[in-house]
Amino acid sequence: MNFRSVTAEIALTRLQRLGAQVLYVTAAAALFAALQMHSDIGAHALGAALFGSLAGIYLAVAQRGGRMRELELCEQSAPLYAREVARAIALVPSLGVVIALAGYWIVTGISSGPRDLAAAPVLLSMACACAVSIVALGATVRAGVWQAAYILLAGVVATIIVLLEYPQLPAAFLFCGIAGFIGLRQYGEALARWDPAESA
Amino acid sequence: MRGASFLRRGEELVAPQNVELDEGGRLAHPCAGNRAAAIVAMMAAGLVRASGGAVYVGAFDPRIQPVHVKRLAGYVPHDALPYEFPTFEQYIEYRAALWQLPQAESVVRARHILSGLDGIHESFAYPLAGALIAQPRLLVLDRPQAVYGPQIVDVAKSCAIFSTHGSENEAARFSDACAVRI
Repeated sequence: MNFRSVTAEIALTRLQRLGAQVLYVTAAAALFAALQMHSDIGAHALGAALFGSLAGIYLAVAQRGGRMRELELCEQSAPLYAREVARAIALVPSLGVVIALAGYWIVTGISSGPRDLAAAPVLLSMACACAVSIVALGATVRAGVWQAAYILLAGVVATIIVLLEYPQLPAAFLFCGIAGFIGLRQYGEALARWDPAESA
Repeated sequence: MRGASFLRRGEELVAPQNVELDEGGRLAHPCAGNRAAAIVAMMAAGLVRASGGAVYVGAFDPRIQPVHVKRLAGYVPHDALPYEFPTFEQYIEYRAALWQLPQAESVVRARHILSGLDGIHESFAYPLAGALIAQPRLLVLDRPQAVYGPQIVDVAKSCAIFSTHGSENEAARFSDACAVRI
């Protein structure tokens, strides 16, 4: 018998739907990296974290409505706990930004030379973008002022991580982990309370 | 459903509903309008929690045990959905993964169900076949067309069928078409 993991199925199916958007974001990240080719590693780290965060917010917001409606209805009517669906959906913008930032750092590595690269800024930009996109997912199950507030909160998270990066690199990683964990918990709980009747 | 109602921001979208359906039974339930019919169907399938009153599917309350309710109920929406899956098989494999069913076996079962739905538009036939692969004990249909009634009854076999409709006339037409008792 051929069983596939629920998380993998939801994440991969949604990622396929967002294939074009992920491609655009990756191309934009590569272009952005090319424009920054004469910058130092600090500017690259800042640019990657902020660009990755914006891309994460965009990919997170694209998770609901439009082309995702049929998938949403299937997920909502399936016998799954909201936390399972939340984990799977959170993987989608996270994978999307990791792909986009991989494009960014590859172009940076080619243009500036691999010797100028360091592991910490690369990993932190990815961790920052993942945490921000997970926080931004909260906006997809809210409307009006609360939706705007969650997008703003995601922006604030990105700003705090960028500000923490240089003086306190471990603190920046820790903050990414905490923000991502709380964001995921919040999103799971909001998804459990969310009514598809809103769109009826 | 016992006095099950649905409110949104203080506005009553669904007046208290009293509905009882036995195992294997069939019921075409008229609602006040299309939006109310859509919400009542989602309440019956455990997708939406009633704001007031009580809903039980089998022995389970969707407010407390939504996952148990969703294991019992198969939901078929009204809207014609865009074809997001390139093939019927991929759609069924996706649903099978969500319901944690063996995929190859589910595709075979779905093809068999689909063969009994000849003439029904794909936008309704695919979700119906998808809902039936999990062998639910309750099939919830949101405003099905009356002409599809006999085929729905055939493919559902012993599964209870609960359908919601936007008016008394539509419910009566569906009921007449598939000899559903109201």
